[in-house]
Amino acid sequence: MRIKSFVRFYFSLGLAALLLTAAACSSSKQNSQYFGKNTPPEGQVLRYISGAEPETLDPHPMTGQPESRIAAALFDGLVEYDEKTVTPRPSLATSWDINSNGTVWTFHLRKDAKWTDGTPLTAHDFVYSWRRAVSPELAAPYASMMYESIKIDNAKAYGEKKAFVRDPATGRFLTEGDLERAGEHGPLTFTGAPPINYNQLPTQQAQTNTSTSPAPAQTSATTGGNSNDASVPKVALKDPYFLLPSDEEERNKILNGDPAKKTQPNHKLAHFLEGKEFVAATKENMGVRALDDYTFEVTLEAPTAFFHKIILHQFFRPVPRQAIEKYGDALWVKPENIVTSGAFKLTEWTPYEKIVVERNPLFWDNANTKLEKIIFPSIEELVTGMNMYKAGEIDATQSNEVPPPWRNQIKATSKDYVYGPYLQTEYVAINTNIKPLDNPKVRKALSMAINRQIITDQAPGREPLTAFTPKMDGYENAEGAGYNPEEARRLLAEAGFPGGKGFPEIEIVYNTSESTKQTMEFVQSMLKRELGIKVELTNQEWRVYLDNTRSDKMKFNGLARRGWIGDYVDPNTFLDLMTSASTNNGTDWKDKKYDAMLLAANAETDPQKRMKMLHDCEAYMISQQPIIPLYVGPSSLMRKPYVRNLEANLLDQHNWRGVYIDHNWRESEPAAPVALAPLLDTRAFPAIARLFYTGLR
Amino acid sequence: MSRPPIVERIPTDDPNAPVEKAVGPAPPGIVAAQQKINTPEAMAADQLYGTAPPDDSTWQEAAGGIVKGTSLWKDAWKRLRKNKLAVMGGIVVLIILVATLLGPLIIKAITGYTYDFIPSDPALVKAMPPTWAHPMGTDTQGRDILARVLIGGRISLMVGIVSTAVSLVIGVTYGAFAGYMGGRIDNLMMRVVDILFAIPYMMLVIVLLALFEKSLLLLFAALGAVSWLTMARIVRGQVLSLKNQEFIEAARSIGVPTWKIIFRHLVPNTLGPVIVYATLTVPSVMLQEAFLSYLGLGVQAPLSSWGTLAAEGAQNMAIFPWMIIFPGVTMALTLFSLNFVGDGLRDALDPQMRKV
Amino acid sequence: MLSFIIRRLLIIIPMVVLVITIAWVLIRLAPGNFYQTQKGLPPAVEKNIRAKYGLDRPWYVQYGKTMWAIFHGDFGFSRKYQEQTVNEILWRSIPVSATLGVTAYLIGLIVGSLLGTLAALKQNSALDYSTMAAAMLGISLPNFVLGPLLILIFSLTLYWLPPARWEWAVRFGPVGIPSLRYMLLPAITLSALYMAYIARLTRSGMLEVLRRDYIRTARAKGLSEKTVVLRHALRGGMLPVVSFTGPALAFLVAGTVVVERVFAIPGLGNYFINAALNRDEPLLLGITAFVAILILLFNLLVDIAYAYIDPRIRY
Repeated sequence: MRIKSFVRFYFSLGLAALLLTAAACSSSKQNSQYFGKNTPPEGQVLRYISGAEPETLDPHPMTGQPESRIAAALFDGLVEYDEKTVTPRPSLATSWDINSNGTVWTFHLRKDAKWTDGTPLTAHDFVYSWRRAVSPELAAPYASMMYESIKIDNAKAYGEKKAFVRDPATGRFLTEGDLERAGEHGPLTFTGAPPINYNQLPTQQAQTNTSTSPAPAQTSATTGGNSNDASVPKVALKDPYFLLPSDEEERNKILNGDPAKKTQPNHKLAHFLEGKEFVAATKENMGVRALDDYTFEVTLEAPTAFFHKIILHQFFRPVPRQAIEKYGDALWVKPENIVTSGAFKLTEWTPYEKIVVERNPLFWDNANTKLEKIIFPSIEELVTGMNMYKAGEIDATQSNEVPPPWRNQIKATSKDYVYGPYLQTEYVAINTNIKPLDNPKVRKALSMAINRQIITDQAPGREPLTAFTPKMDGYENAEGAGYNPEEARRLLAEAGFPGGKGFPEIEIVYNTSESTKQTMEFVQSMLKRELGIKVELTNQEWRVYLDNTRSDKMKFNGLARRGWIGDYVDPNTFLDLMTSASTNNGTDWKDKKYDAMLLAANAETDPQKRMKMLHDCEAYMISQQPIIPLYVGPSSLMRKPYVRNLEANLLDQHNWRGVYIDHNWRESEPAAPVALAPLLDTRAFPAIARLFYTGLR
Repeated sequence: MSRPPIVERIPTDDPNAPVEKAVGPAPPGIVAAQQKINTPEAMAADQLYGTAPPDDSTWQEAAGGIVKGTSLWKDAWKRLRKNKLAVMGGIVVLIILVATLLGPLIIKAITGYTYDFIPSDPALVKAMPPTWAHPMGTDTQGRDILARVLIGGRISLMVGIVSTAVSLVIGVTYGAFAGYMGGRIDNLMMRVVDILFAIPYMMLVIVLLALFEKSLLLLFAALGAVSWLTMARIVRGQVLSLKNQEFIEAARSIGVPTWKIIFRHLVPNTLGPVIVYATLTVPSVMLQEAFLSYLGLGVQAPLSSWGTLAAEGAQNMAIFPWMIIFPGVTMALTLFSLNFVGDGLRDALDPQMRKV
Repeated sequence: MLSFIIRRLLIIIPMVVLVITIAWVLIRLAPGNFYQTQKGLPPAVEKNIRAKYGLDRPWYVQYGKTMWAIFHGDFGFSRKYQEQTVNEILWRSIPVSATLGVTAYLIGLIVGSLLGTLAALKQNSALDYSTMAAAMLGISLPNFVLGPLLILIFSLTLYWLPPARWEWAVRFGPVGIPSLRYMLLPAITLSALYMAYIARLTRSGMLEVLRRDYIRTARAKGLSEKTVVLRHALRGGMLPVVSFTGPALAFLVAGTVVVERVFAIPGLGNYFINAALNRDEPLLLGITAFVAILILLFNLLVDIAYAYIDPRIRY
């Protein structure tokens, strides 16, 4: 009796599980063409998942993608995204001029732009905003975008609290070039002109400065100063000022050595600088100025061809001085305090629930804004987002909201899965400091052992990647070595590890996430199968992983998973990552030649020539193989059929002004519904049932 | 052999202790016992209302005598064997245990699949529903789920058993001691438990991982660090109530050492809730292991555990249901069976059921 | 008793300070920083950030400042959610977590203790087996499986209930009455585990108590079975459940991550996990302090409940 009930009990347990899943899965047959319900919201309202709870809505401290999309709705920029191509389209700036050597950009602003509090938006707002973005007091994590990615004059000196060195006798300033020319023993002559005070207009400045105008731009490479390699291209740049920390204590640590960090005193420098003055860089020295209320001028240290593309980024959009000074850096973004300039204004922000933005009637192009309201619910879990989408509570999602294992299925069954190219790459960084990975041959062998096809087959739209940058308009990608196991084994043998013999065990560190885990498991099994290398997978919590893969720590034994999503549509957003100055490419690969090549390419003003040079940079880098490139991810989003003008684009950024809800969408639908395979493979059920029965008999 | 009724000899700390308040002044059971003290019926009654085993061997041992006759455990074992449900459960657990140990080898011998075998043919690298080659289907990488479930059982069962053991040993001892000592010692010991409850566990694990080499031992330490806390509180609660009962006071009055009172008299009487809670600990640590894997402490991919398989399966529930059904059913089967064993064990060890 | 309660209330203060201190130390020992991004930071920017948050000061200055502010009830601004103070976050999300947690626990307690008692009274009957089987199902179905399963059935197949989110039906300041439609699925998901635990613990506690002499006495006195069970047996039989309730309820009120994430509920549990993951020191300390107070308070209540259940218990 007891045993019988026991058996019956297990049987009913199995049956219950079966029924539950069967019930759960029958839903898939409800809609053969689309994923879930298709009832548009009332009126012109869009409910869009932009990801997790935003950290902030202040464009300057902002670092995440979810909030950047919301910022694009709230804050207008000099230029605005084109929905399809995400290239810059004039917005606050109606036009711009570039001087002959590409270092001075002058933006002509529209005169009808207003903040939501009614005050006009002028060039002074830009000057204030860009200075704030760099200011050491705000300490924005992306501050270096203004002086590493693009080199705004003296922005680095201001942002990093540096001081110029002045010779009180001549009033001249010390430059890098001066020190180089002085050699070991001098004499040291100061040749730099005083740093420009950008609060003064150029005409006045010309008067005050003509007498002391600097010697014409020196020819010197800013990086690789000691390098005598003839192949390193030299770039014509302004001879940069020599900078020291403005804080006296810090400065003395450099000059006299720091016992705490055991750095040696720099006697030569200390001797040279005896009796000289240190002039702290101020915000006025930063190369931004308002020529008049509606003309904004930016002075760069080096010509930067992609400047107009990078300023699409929310970091370059103006912030309201009046609100920030009134409420402070933290509180001005509260819904009751915030002042914005974009097509939408913030009306509600309930953290961890939703952000609601509504049409801004003061917006200069309000007539062309179509949506009345956008609701951004904050959703942490992908599956939760998908559930809400399916239930018809969401109209569109950010890219990659569909969990990767679902995508092939969803693509086959649902027309509302939209995907296109994306500036997202997945790669494995190689710790080039440890043996035997310091050998490019070994690195190449690792890369050639990866069959990228298997990884790209896992989700629609993935493209195999053999070099570093995704496809971009006008840019020809470099090609690295693809899948070639024989050649890989040959290279490994050549490096001294035939058949993987004697190859030390290495690890792949990766951050915890289902899809990266899957990819890393593929890499591991391929390295094992093709090369006989033992690889251990180590997953780490995100911050631990970031910390361990920092270039000043490099605490991992072998390989590290990396992914990168471009900030703007230009190869530089990727290539920049591999320079010596980059702190976060996970490889610690430093190559002076590469740095100089990239610098030269970005200084090139002829776009075609520049793209060719960038291609050479990428080709050179991949010839050294500091990374194992894997794939380019697609931008893939769920979009209900009634949502218009919202595209899967390269950056997954949107121009919200054009998006609208088409309430008559059914009329434009093809009449006969296409018969599509059901979401669930029902062949599974007989097999499951069989298993239960046989197990019980 | 004959001994006076316990009730009369209790030297209470508190003269006003409401010993029998709940049931009135003259419980008929006690009266009966007092009257017929030497009959076998009275002996049985003694043990019944004594709620504890003040049985002969204990008394003899307490008096320095030699232990003879059936011990608690021997007796329990006898009764456990008679409980068919428990035996069935035990057999299922055993089968699963053997399957996790030998299963992966057998599968490899027959089909060639291992838990980390990813087919080299790209067409096979996808989730496939159950077939004869893959009775539980494959996961999204085309790996055999049966092999993964079996290998996953190793770590999950190990984690379950070790953590439950830790919870039993530390939790029961700690809780019983705190409860029995009472007063300041109890207060201090329980505040330590409260603090362990309150410190952010996730931070603790992250720090543990940073300070120590990642290892199985560290995993057990991380799981063990918290799994005994609730157990300690439950045991303490039971002991607080038990320690004022007559048989304990009696034992104390005749000078039985503290540790013996705790382990011989108090702990056996808490076994009911203890065993139930211990069987409940097993699933919770199995799932907690999956959480620790997320932080990098549990099993490392491509190795699996039931917790990680369930977590993976739950994500793909709507699309690849077999990814959750099979690991889930295996886990449920194990837990159910373990539970039947636990219930049987509880019944077998129940001091009041001994002569029933 | 009163002096016992007062002593135990007073001890909360040093205990919370101790717990906060431990959390403070842990966050410093943990690798990684709140400001690290995938992009990487130039050393100078990192230095600016550290200076902005006072992380360049000696540890005792940082500790002193933090504790001083906390003594004044100010945990400061969250590091990750930069324009929100910790107090603001706690004030907003505790009501949500507490409402959900207490509701789920009450469901679990009522259903669980009822089933457990019935099972104990009819030991080894069909009712006993089916109840305990259901309880085991509740335990072996982790809430990250049960939640999505319920959503699949009730929200995405039958379209009866919303699949996620939280709405208040009526609001009174920070608290309110939640909308039942939104709360039903998460509350059931959350209660399943506790229901199962409580059912099993009640059953074992009741089995123990039902054989005690005072129950026999009560029955012998001729009291009705109902009175025996409800007035006498249930009290002692619930002892293990009461012990379990202290920490369990504290953690439920403080929010549970899985359910909050699956159902996108703006509760404290999600913040807790994110605070730890983001090394968000002020937020972590704030929530830790709250959890510590809850645990100490609930365990005090449990101890008081013991004395009520068993009058012989003295402290």
